[in-house]
Amino acid sequence: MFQSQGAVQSRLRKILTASPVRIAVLALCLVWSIPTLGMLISSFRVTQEINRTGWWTVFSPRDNTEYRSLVDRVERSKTFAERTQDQFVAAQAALEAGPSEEAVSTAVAEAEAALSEAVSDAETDLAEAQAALDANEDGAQARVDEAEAALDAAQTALAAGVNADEIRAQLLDALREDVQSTEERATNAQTMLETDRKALAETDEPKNFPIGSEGWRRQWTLDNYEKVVNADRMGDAFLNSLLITIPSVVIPITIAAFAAYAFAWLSFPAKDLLFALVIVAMGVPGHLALVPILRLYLRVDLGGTYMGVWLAHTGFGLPLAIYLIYGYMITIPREIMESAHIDGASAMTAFTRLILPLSIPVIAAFAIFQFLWVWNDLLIALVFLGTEAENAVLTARLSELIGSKGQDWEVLTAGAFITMLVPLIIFFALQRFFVRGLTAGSVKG
Amino acid sequence: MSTQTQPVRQKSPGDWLTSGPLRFLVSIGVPVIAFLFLRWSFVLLRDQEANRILVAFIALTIGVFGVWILYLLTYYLTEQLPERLGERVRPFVFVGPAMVILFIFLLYPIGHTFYLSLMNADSEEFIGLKNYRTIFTDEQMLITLRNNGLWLISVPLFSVSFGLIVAVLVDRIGRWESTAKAFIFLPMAISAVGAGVVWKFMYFVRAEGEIQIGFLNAIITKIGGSPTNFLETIPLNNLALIIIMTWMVTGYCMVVISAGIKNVSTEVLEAARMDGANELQVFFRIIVPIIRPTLITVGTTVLIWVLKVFDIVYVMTNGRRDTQVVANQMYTELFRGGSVGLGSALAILLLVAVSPFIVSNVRELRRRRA
Repeated sequence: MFQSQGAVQSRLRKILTASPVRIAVLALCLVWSIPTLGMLISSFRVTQEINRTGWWTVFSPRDNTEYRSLVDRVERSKTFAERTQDQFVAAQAALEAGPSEEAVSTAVAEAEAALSEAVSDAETDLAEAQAALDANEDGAQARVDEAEAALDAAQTALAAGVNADEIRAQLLDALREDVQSTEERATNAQTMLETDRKALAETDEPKNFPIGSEGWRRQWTLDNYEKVVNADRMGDAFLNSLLITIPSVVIPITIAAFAAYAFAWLSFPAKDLLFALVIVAMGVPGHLALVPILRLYLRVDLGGTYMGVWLAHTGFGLPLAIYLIYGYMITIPREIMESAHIDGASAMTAFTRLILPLSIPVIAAFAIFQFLWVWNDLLIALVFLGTEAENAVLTARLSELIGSKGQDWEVLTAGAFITMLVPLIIFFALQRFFVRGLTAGSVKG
Repeated sequence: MSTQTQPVRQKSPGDWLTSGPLRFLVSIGVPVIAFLFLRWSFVLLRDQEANRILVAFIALTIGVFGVWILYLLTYYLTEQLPERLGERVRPFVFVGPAMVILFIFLLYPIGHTFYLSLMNADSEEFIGLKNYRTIFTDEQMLITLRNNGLWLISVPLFSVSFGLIVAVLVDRIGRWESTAKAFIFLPMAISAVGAGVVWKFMYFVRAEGEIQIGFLNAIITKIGGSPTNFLETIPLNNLALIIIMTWMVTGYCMVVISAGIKNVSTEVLEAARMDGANELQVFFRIIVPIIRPTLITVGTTVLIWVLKVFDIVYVMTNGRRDTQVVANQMYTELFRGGSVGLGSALAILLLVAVSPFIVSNVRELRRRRA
C-alpha cells in the first residue's frame, strides 16, 4: 500500500516534470549542435549561396515577397505586351485596308466646312477692322489691308474646293504613323516582358527542389569537397593523418602492454620507483618536450620523418597507457597466471597467449582515445611535421587554410568536415566504449 | 627450447666465459642494429618519389609490426643467455623500452627545458632567472597570465555546471537519454581546429546593413542590435574563446557526472522525496554532496586541459587583441622566431602549474600501495 502510493507519486511527478525537462534537454541539444550543423550544411552549399543567405535559411521556405512581386510584374508586362501587340496588328490591318470612301468623303466634307468657316471668320475680321478704321484708330488701315488679303485667300481656297485624293493621302500617312508608333510600343513592351521573365528565371523559387533539378543544383553541391581534397591537398593530408595516427596508436599500446605486464606480474629491482616515474611522467605536459626532442631529432636525423612523430606520440601517450593497462592486468586472477606457469609457459608466452588477449577491453578503450588524441592533435603535428602540403596532417593543413583562406567558407567548412569524418565515425560506431572509457579515466590529462 | 639446451651449456664454464659476454653484446647489438635499419628504411621511404599508397603501406607495416619484431627478437636473444642472467634481464625486455622512451620523451626534457629556460633567446648565454622575471613583469606576459587565470576559472566552472545540469536532466528523459547525450558529447570527438572553423563561422561578422551569414550576428541584427565582432572586441573575445572550449568539454563532464549520478542509490532519493524534499533540495542536498568526488575529478581533468590549451587560441586569434594564453605564447616564442629561453620558461611554468596534480597522483599511488 505504502509502496504503491510512492510509485503513484513518483509516476505523477514524472509526468509533471517530464515535459519541461524534455523541452530543456531538447533546447540544450539544439544549442550544442547548431554550430556543427551550420558547418555541415554550409559545406554542401554553393559558394554564392553561402555568402548570400545564412545556412539556416535552407530549412524555412525562403522569404518569397521578392519572388511573388516578380511573378506579378511578369504577369502585368505580359498583359501590356499583348495589348500593344493587338493594337499594332489592328493598325497594320487598318493600313492594309486603306482609308474607306466614307472616311474620305467625311474628311472632304469636314475640310469644306472648315474652308467656309475660314471665309466667314475672315469676313468677321474684316468687318472689325473696318469699324476700327471708322473710329480712326492707329494702324487700322494696315489691319484692314491684312484682313482683306486673308479674306481673299480664304475665298480663293473655297472656290478651288477640296481635293479628295490629297485628303486620302493624308489619311494614309496618319495610318502609317499609327502603325509605326504601335509597333514601337509593342516592341518596348516585349523587351520589358523579356527582362522581367529573365529576372524571374534567375530568382530561386522558394520551395523544395527535387534532387537534381536546376534549383537544387543552384543550392547544393559537392564541388567544395572536390576543391578541398584536390586543390587544397586535404586528400594528401588525410592519408598523412592515417599514416601518423595508426602507428601512433599501435606502438604505444604495444610498448605499454609489455611494460604493464612486467609491472603487474614480473619482479625486478626498483619496480616501485620505476612505476612512480610512470605516474610522474603521466602528469608532465608534452609542451616541455618539444624543443629538447626536436634538437635530439636533428642530431639523430629523425627530423620531419613519420617515425619521429610516431615516437613523440608514443612518448606522450605511453604513461597513461601503462597506467590503465596495468590497472586492468593486476585484476586478472593470480590462479590463471599460476596455471600458466605450471604448464611451463615462458613469460613471453604467458603474455602473448594469456594476458594480452584478456586485456583487450582496456586496450580497445585506450586505443579509441589515443586515436582521437593523435588524429585531433595540432601542436605535435605542427612542431614535428609543419604545414607544408606534402607532410602536413589534416589539422595542420586546416589551420593553414584558416590562415590563408579566412573567409572562403565553402573551403573551410568542407575541410573541417573532412577532419571530423573519422572521429565522427569512431564516435558513432563505438559510442558505448567511448562512454565506458571516459568514466574509467582513459583521457589524457 | 632453452630449458633443454641450458643444462648442457652450464657444464662447461669456460665456454660461458668466452661466449657469454659475446652473447650479451649480441643481445644488445641486434636490437640496436635492427632499430637503425628500420629508421634508415624510413628516411629512405620518405625521400623516394615512390607511389604514395605503396610508401604508406610499407610505412604502416614497419610501424605496426616493427615494434613487435623488436620485442620478440630481444626476448629470443635473452633466451640465449645463461639462465640466471636471462632471468634477470628478461623483465627489462618488457619494461625497458617503455622506461627508455619515458625517460627520453618526458623526464630528460624537463631538465633540458629547465636549462634552456635559464638561457637567452638563442640559448647561447646564461641569464639566470631573467626569463622568469620577464614572465611576471612584462605587460604582454601579464595579460597572458591573466587570460590563463580567466580560462582556469571559467572553463571548469561552466563545463562542470553545464555537465551537471545536463546529466541531471537527461537522467529523467527515459529512452532518449543516450541520444541526447550523444548530441552534447559530439564536440568532444572533433579537433580543436575543426571546432575553430565551426565557431569562426558562428562568430562571423559583416558590416552593418549587410546580410549577416554568421549565426550569432544574424540573431543579434534580427532582434535589432548592431553586428558584433566577437573575436576583435577586447573583453568579449576571451569569453568567445572560453565558450568554444566549454562547448567542447561539457560532454566529457556530463558523461562522467552522469555515471556518478547513476550510482546514487534511488532509495536515498526516494526517501528524501518522501520526507517532503522538493527536486531542488534533492539536487543540492543529496545528489551534489554524494557526487562531490566525481565533480572534483572532472573539474581537475578539465583544469589540466585548460592549462595546456593551445589549438583553440592558435586557430581563432593566435593571441591577437589580448587573447594570448601561456601555451600559445610558448609556441610563438619557441617556433615563431621568439625567444627559446622565454618559451622554455613558460613550459616550465606549465609544469609547475600541473605539479600539484602530479604530487597528488604519486601520493594516491603510495596510499594505495600501503
